[in-house]
Amino acid sequence: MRDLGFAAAILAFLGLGVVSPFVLTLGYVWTDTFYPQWLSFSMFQGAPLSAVMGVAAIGGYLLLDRRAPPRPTLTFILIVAFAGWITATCSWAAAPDLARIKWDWAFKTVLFSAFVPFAIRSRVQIEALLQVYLFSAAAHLLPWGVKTIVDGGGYNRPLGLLGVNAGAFGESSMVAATIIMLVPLVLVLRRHSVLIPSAKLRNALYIGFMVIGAFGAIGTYARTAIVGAGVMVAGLLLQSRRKVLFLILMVPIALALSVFLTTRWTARIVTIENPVADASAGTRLVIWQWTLDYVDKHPLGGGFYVHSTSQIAVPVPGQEQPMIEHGRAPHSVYFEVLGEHGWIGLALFVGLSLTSVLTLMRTSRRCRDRVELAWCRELARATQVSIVTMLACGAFIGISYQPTLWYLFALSISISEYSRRYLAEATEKRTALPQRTAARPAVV
Amino acid sequence: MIDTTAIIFSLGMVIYIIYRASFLDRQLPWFRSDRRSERNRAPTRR
Repeated sequence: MRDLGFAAAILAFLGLGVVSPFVLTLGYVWTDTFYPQWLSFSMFQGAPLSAVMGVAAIGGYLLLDRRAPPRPTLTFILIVAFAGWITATCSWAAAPDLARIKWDWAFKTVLFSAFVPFAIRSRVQIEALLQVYLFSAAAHLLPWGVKTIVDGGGYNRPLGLLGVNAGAFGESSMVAATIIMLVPLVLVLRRHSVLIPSAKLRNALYIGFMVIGAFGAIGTYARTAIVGAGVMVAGLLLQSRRKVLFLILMVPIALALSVFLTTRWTARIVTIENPVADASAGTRLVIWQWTLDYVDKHPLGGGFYVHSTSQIAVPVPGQEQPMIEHGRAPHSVYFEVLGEHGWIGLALFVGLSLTSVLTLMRTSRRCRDRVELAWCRELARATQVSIVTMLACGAFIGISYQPTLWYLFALSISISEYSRRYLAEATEKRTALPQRTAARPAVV
Repeated sequence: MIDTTAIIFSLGMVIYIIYRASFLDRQLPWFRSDRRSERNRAPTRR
């Protein structure tokens, strides 16, 4: 039965993709986020659905849809340069076999994000990309929230559709980061969606998502949730025109959520204050130091999975002898990229992140005086907060190549290019008007 | 039960969104800039 539902969705993507080729790009986003090949009981188990959708999306664009391509913006150039550099580092990888496996999916994620702005250009397409990502991720995120409401949640428990640490939504920190990152985008969709015209339905869907999502984020017991929520609220507060009212509204929300916080949750979260005393956080500090030492000797990085060659001595609280650990992952986007792709890779990644945020700031300013671009302005500001939230959460989780972050980079190009095209057309019309008037014969 | 409901909800919404997006994409102009902003709109005559 489940597989029949997946088959219906795949047929819908392929069928509608023939008349609207951008739907095929949404099909890739769906397979990459929903993981039908992992959730399937038989028909699609292990099927290369991402590859099929990816080829269909790029083929559909090239054959049927080459209208209004984006300019080669700095963000786009940095994405392509990063894709090239992560390929180059494979040639001197410290663990070549493992590097090849990770390159295979990481390269596709990075390169597809460079393709997305080609297919996603109009308002409807931009919103559809957001909605498809949101509702595909919701299948994984909502069960965390509902199960937390039912039984309280817990750290490292398989509360989603996938097993522990399977894919992006099997890892509790990633689940918490995604839920929190989505909040600013959901707030914009609630106000400006054209795909869901009913305001009542929008309120029910998006407010429902935020409430259940909040429980899900709490139920992960991930310290990343606190960091992410802090950054997201600070971002929204900075952008809010009515800051005092915003703060007043936050108080009852925080109080309502605090009622559900258990002593187990508080005990885990307070370890954020003393990371050395906590085994998981303490190990991170040691592997980060190992990464810095490694790039000191190998400034170009050691290729994907370089951490698999590490051997670190982790101090154990209450014991004299440290624990020796092999192949520990850095659990941080910055140290992951630094170790694997060296200082050049880190510079490209940080440059790309900064460029995306700055592009969105410029887009937001550009749309300021146009009432009809209010949605675009608000979306640019929300995406800014979402990217900064993901980057802050990413300091403690290894999500450098998870599609979520790369879709946000792609979204920043799509939004910016939309506003540029729109305003260019408006300027063209304004300048064309006097010429037409001048060409008209004088009748008076 | 919770997982199945989440999957059905997700699939239903995704199929609805792509159907509606495909429909509207062909109905609405992509970069329409002919709508005047509120600031420039002439006052309504009574």
